[in-house]
Amino acid sequence: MFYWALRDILRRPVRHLLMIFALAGLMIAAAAPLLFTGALSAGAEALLSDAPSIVIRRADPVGWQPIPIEPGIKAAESIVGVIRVRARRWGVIDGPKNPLVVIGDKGLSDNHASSLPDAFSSDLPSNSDFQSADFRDFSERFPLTPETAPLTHETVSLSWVRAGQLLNLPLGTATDLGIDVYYPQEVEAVCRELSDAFPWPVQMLTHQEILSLFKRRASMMGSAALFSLIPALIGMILMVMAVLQQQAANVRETGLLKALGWTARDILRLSFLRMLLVIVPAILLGAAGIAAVFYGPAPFRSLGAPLGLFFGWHGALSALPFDAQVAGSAFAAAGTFILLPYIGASLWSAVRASAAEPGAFIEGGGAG
Amino acid sequence: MKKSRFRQILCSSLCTVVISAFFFIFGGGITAAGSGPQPGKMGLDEAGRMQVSDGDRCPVCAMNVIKHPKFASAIQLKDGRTFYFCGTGCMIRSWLHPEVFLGAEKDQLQKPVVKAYFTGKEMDAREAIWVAGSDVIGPMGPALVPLKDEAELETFRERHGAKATFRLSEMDDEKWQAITGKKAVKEK
Repeated sequence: MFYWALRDILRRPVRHLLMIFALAGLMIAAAAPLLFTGALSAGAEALLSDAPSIVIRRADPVGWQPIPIEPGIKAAESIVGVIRVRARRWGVIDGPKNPLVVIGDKGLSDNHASSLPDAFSSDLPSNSDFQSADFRDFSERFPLTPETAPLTHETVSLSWVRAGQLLNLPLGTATDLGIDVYYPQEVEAVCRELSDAFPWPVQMLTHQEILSLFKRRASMMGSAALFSLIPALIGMILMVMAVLQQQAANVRETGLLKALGWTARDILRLSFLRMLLVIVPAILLGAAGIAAVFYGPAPFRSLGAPLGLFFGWHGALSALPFDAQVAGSAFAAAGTFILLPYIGASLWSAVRASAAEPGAFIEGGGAG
Repeated sequence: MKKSRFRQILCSSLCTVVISAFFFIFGGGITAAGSGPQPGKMGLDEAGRMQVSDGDRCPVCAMNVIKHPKFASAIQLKDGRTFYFCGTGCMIRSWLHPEVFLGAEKDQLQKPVVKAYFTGKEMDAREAIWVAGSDVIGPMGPALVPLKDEAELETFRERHGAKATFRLSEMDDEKWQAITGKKAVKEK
């Protein structure tokens, strides 16, 4: 029976190959929003675990100003309840292809540098603000862990001095100060006292506000990723219709088999085996595709570049951090979402065919 | 008739199996919990800092101490055992009545450790200035807050209010009741 089913598949190889590719493609499209949502929440958690309790920036009437580090730290440390003050250098600059977020890392020496997202590792123009030395080996001191990749796409870390040069920060100044307090309930009181402690007008952002900003962004990105379900849904409907139509076209063959003495059970078994021969390769191909597009090396990830358009990313997707639970549940959900309707349509057609009279088939009446 | 009799026997057998399984699985835990206060898995480190482990229970209220790191405190005994507490209130009650909460005599008490409110730095609770009646809430309700010095006390008072201040050496049952409105140890 298995060889009969295999022979059936091989009689129309192109049609079945297309079906396998379509099913695998739909699985990848359906898994995308689930994988992105999981990765975004893990990324936000990783980023915020090291976020300061308060971020303070100097704001003059003309806009943001660099904040002098020494007097800034001194003023912040004078407030009871402040346990740590971090000067930070970061900002958006014109990259070789599109804007980049640059972070100054004190742990990187001036001529050693940083990491560069895969999307920018080549094709740097010689007259760019960047030097090729700016993008060398990935450093373990990179302040953003791989979990943060979905939220830090197009972010590079440079040496403290180099970042200052690119961001036009005068010597001894920073973009902002990150302030930590021990008890979260002290934040409000510390903020009040901080604004009086600085000799310049300042603007503050608390951890809670940062958290809600992130949540809003993550939910927007997650919703955007859900759009990729629309083509998957349309594709699934078309596939179910194609399966039903294909089965209807095979009625004469089913009628002949019944006339030759095949029982309803035989017809059902044959249909089931035929379905397995399509579904198993489709699942394997889908799993391989998901692994390549979301977790694989850059050339494979560039296949998923259209998904990055939802987030305003350029080039290949960032590799998502692998989480077995997230990946497993996304794969299972996508598989169920895509394969169940296919299995249902196939079995429904098989049941109807097995229950009909052979004469009706041969005369062209179909399965009903 | 026979069917309903059979069903009754089946139900009662199932209940017996489930109840036996419950006691078999959780019986050991109940016995262990009932065997008195357990010290922390690890004592203070060489620098006198707390080393709270998962599963260290507060001897007063049985809360898991590791879940309340900001208010965690400890009492080290002379025999080397260290008890960890979910909050400063539980620690002070145990300091007042170690025989009730720790199963140890008062002369066995070695060192109480708390985290200074503003910095989280660990310090000897006897050196702290304690504040009661502020708006700060700990794991067990309104918190007794340890502060490092007078300057911190001044700032704390401005931010959170303070109905009373005290040193650990001044604390006794009477003062505890005056501050909290409850007795440090329930009467039997």
